Amino acid sequence: MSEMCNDLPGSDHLVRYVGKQKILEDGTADGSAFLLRTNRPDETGLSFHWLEVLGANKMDQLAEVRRLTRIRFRTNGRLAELNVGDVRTEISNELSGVRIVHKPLDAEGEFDADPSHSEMTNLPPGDSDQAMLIGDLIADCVVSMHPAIGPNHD
Amino acid sequence: MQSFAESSFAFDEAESQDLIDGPTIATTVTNRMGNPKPRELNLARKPTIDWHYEENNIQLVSAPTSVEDEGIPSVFTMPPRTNPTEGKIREYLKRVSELRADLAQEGNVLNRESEDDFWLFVVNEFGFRKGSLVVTDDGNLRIVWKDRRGTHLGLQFLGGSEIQYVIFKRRTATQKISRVAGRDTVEGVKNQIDSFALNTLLNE
Repeated sequence: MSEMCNDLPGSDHLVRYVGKQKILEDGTADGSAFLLRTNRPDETGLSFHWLEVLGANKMDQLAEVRRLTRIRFRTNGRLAELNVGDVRTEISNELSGVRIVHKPLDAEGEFDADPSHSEMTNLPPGDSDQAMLIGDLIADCVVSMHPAIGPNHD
Repeated sequence: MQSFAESSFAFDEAESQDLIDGPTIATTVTNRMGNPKPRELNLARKPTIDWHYEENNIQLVSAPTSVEDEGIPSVFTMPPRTNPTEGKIREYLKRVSELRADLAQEGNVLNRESEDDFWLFVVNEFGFRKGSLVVTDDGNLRIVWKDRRGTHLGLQFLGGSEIQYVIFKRRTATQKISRVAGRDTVEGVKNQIDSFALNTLLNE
């Protein structure tokens, strides 16, 4: 992984994949979609895609996210979009030290290099009560939910 | 929606004598096209006619094979006569079933202890309106209530009668949101609900 840990600009946007079983019945994301995984102690941060490095408009950006992702997007999953500055401000009211940093990924195996990969770091362990509170707070900052599977995608 | 009495030919008083004398006709109803649609009729449940017909009140026949063929709702597919608790439980059952299927697709399962605690909570706290149900990476059920003012209650059933709660409460006076998280028993969680005056969020 390239070691570029610059904080993302507050005016820019992130998306993160949310599986169907973490989408509330009103279509919004649940906080459980924004927790560090307890079975991955090596996980250093919550992964996101930084949209503005992927193209000029939202459609192109999302198409690139779908192409570059290294996890399987399922039907009825969603890409939850957040504003970097808003979510950073809200989290800082509850927890200090959280950063949203750029961590682009090199090409690996079948996967192309991903210039958009970013992480939210210094989050509490995923099985803690504070983590769930922060997860719900992040979920409240989601501005849009986009289909994870785009048109003409299998 | 027609009631069972209105929709079942068995309640047609003009044919009641036929029903007593001709059991084969009694088990047949028709769809909109006039084609016979066999269905299961429990004549013993019928309330309005004084039956003296005691033999074989239930006759088992094959079920309709498609919803589109249904010209008349079956007693077994009609919505309940709206007991709110029953309706809520049916919706939860459906949602849990969906979540279980989603997990199975990924080779995961629901945490059985979490599910047991969830159902105990739903049945005991039947005064709460239906919440939105999700499942965590650990296979635990989590139920969430939210309102437009930013007030929020999330309960994750951890198993072993332990519940993790997350509460966001917008204070009327200051308009700021207080946030708290912890874990406790059901009684402890209910004390938190009272402390944060969340009853308007939760009550039917």
